[in-house]
Order: sequence, then C-alpha cells, then structure tokens
Amino acid sequence: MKIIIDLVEYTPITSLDFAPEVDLVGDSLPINQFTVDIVTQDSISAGQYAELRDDLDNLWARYWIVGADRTDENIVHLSARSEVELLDGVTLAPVMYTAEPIQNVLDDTMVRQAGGGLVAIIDYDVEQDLLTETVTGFCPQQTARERLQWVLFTAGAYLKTAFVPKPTIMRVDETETLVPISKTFWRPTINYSDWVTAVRVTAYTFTQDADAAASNTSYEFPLPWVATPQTLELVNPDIPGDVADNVVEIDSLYLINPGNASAILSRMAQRYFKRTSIDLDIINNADYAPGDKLIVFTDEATLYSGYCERTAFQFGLQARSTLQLTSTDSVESGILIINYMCEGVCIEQATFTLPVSYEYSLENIYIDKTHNGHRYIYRPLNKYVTGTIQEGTNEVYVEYEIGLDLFNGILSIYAVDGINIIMEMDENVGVIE
Amino acid sequence: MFSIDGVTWPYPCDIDREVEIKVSDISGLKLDKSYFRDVLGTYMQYTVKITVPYGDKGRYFSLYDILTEPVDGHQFILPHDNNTISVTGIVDNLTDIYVRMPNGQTFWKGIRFNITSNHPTKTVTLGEAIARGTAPLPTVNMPVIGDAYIYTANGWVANGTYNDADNTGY
Repeated sequence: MKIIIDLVEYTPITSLDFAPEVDLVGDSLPINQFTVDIVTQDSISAGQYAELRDDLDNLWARYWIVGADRTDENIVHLSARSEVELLDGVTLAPVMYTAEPIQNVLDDTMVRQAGGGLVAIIDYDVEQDLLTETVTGFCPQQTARERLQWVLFTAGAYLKTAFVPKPTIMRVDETETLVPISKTFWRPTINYSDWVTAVRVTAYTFTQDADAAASNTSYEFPLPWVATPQTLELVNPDIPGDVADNVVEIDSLYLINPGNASAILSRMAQRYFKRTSIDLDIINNADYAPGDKLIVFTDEATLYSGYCERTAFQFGLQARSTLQLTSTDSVESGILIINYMCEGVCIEQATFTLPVSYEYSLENIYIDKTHNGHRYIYRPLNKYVTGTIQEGTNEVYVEYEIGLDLFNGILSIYAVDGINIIMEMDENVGVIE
Repeated sequence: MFSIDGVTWPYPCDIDREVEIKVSDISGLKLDKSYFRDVLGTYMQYTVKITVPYGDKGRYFSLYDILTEPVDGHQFILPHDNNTISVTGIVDNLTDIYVRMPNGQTFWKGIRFNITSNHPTKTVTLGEAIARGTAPLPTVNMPVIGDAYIYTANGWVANGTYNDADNTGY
C-alpha cells in the first residue's frame, strides 16, 4: 500500500488503519477515514487530499488530511477523512421543497460558507438513475450533513466514499456477488438481534393555508405552510406470538410524504425485520466494498446473502477484511458435479456448492493421470464449461481427448496444438537428455 | 570464503544456511480447510564458523571488530549454489573462545556468528500473489493430491473413503 499526496508517492507506510462503512438504511451518514504512519522526512500539512492506493495502483480512498503530526525524525502520522465531515461545519437555512429535482437539492446541500456566501464544498457524483428522484417536504435549519442524510434516506440512496475518486451517491444495488469459499476464513459467525415487530413512519403533507398557519403558535413550519401528519406502519409478518413490541419509528423527518412513505417502509422492513447478521473474514484486495450485496459461505454447504455495511481491513502483502453483512437471507444452494470424460470413461470429477441461479463459467484444465505405467496428458475439447445452477444436484460432462502418452520412455503425441523441443547437453558426459 | 562490506576473508569456514519464507499476520486457516499464506518474501539465515590461522592475530582481531560494530547491518557476499549471493544482514550470537596453553601462550579462536538477512532475497509482487492465489470458484469435496484412485471399467474411482482433515468422510 502507499500514500500519494500532490503527486508524491510515499512508501513504505505502517500502522495503516482503514475501516470504511456505509449506512444503507439512512440511520446515519458515516464519516470514513484512514490513519497511517508515513516513513518520510518531508513536511506534510493538513488541508489537502491524500490517496490510499495499493501496489497495483487501485484507489482505496481519497480523503482530506485533517492531521499530519511528526512523531519521529522519520515518521509522520497522518489522519485523513472523507469530505462529508466538512458538511458538519455548515448550517443551512430552512427550505420547503415541492417536487424539486434531487440534483438541485444536493447542489444546495454540498456547500460551505466562503466570502459571505455559500460555495460548493464537495465535488461529488450521483448515479444516473437517481437523477429522476424529486424531493418534497420541509427541511428545518440543520447542518448540511444532516440535510444530506435526510435526502439520501428518503431517496433510497447512500453515500459511498471508499474505492471511489469522489463521494458518490448511489442507489442500493440488488446485484449479488459470490465470495468464494476459498477466500473465506475459518469461521464466519451468525448473530441474532432482537425481533423488530414493526416499522413506522410519519408522512407529512404540506399545504398553504395562511389562516391556519397564523393560528399555529409553534411556528414549526414557515408561514403559510401547515403540515398534515399521517402515521403509516408495516408489521413484521414473521414474529412469533409472544414477542414484546419493538417498533422502529421515524416521526420527525419532514421529507417523508405520502408519495415515498411506502417505499421507505419497505426499505426499513428489509433492514430491520431480518434478525440475522453475519461477521466473517475474507481475503479482500479491493474486490468487495461496503454497499455491495454479497453471497457468502458460512460453512461448506450453507450460503447467505446480505449487504456489506462495514468492513475493517488488515494489511500484509494482500489484504484481509472483516465484513459485517446485514439484511441477510439464506440462499438455496445446488451441487455442481463436473465429470471429466475421455472415450466414455470418467477420468476425474470435481464437486462445487454454489447458489441456485448462479451462472458459472469454469476453465477446463489439462489433466495429468498415470495408469498402468502410461502417463496420460488429457486435453479438453472445450475450454470452458458453463451453465446455471439449478436446485439439487447438477451433473455435467466435459469431454477430453488424450494429448500425450508417455510409456517406457517413449512419448506418443496424439493431439497437441504445437511442439517445442528443448534439448539439454549434460556438460560432464555429453549426453543429450 | 566470504566478504563483509567489500572485504574478503579468505579463510576456511563452514557456512550453514537456513531459509525462512515469511508470511504476514493476515495468514490463516480458510473455510475450505486450506491455509492462506500471505507470503512476503524469502529471508536467509546463516551460521558461519571461520578459522583464522593462529599466526594471523591481527586479522582475527580486525574481523572481530567489524563483526561487533553496533550497526544495523552489513553487506555480505556468501556462497550460493555455484555462485555467490549478496545479503544485507545483521550479525548476532557471535562467540569465540580464549585459550591459555600450559606454556603461557594465549590466543582467541573459533569465531562463530549468525547472519540474519534484513531484506528478502526473493519477493513476490501483489499482482503475482493474487494471480497465484485462490481458485475462481468455491470448491468443496475436491480430491486432494495423494488420494488413492483406482482405474476401473467405469473410470477413475476413489479407492475407499476420502477422509477430510476433521475426519469427515466423503
């Protein structure tokens, strides 16, 4: 791993601490950071960007340096955080939105005070299909960070700040990625939280009524707006009968309206009605990020899918991360048996456990087998075996032919693409081997 | 014969060498019961026993002075197969013996010391490590090299039961 500041590359680095997270349900807006010790005698100051990259130049994070302290003649301890933190220092005035395009609302939010006015503070990206969203409702005086959290929550979006060059607002993606068992450490744990019996929100309809507003002494909303609240609830259909009430409720988020309340309740149910979460360690060289939906093995035959919301990295040459998956569902698995055949005889077999509906594509490798003194090299007739996993056992047959046969020192060549003959002379004896 | 910091010591010596292939702390047992080793590099350790002739006391003391310098490493050139290898390493566990003869003669002998390399003699890049690493798909119940198979009319079949590391039979 290395740090790059203003085009200068710093390596080696030590004591790297990086544990990015996202909040897919919108309870919070995490500020991600990394801390690291850089071996250098250079003077490094805060108030500029630092990039964390691996040896293959993949970007892991691009954060704002908030602290750069020299702890030793050759060591600078660096702290860098995502620019989301800068939003905490900005207070935004109250505003009422009526079907305002989300891009305009975000532009109003990602600002800071400068020169007596507000200027853009963060360069950010928004996923294309989110741009059709609109915002309706009231935002009170609040920090820019809190307002952004409100907007993301009601739009079903989250903020990604790791593995991207700038903060990126994204829709929660349902595409699942399988983490191979060969990248999973012993042994994942399944955790159970308390039952959530229902999720509840208060949706607000804002109308203009000067008389009613004038008589409202709370002045909660700007004149002449009045709010009509409506409580909506979704009950957990899976709870056993004797569970005490445990309701997750949001009642003062004024961007929740009758138009988006149903979708919001659905997302909350998806998150809170699932009791199980999974903690596991995997080999993770920037392959899996917070926000991804993953299918993981909890043992050799059991699969779960869920969203990665948190991951903490440990670094060697490669990287290992501890993931926490939430909103998990068990996944049905199928068994794939591949029979490698030659002239009607099975020469080898391989067995895999994979999720149902998983589309596989496996390379058929050359097989080296010795039988009755013959050493055979079998070559596949097709380079890949592909298919989609169904329930139960999936048995497929892959055809091979004999490429080479070595017997009693005589090599018989049956089917090869080309031949390179390498002759070596024994320098002491002069024998061609 | 070997050299330290550019100076050759042409005296009889025995050199034992050991290799340590270091792995990082993120190595560990995987769910498929294979072991993930995050290899950092190959590090050499040597034990050198050198015999400086009795009449060469001056050179003996020079060698001893060099080896006991409080530095964080020396540059060694050591035999390696049919060639030599350059190793940057530290000296530790240096010992020798003081001998007093019946006729009053005294001398030091038997310098013996360890060299531990500071840097790997072979390394692997991140790209190489990832490329060598894990299979593209999860595999379970995959026959392990060394399992016994017999060739029958139906093809290769496992000879008896394949037992896993925890005695799960397949």
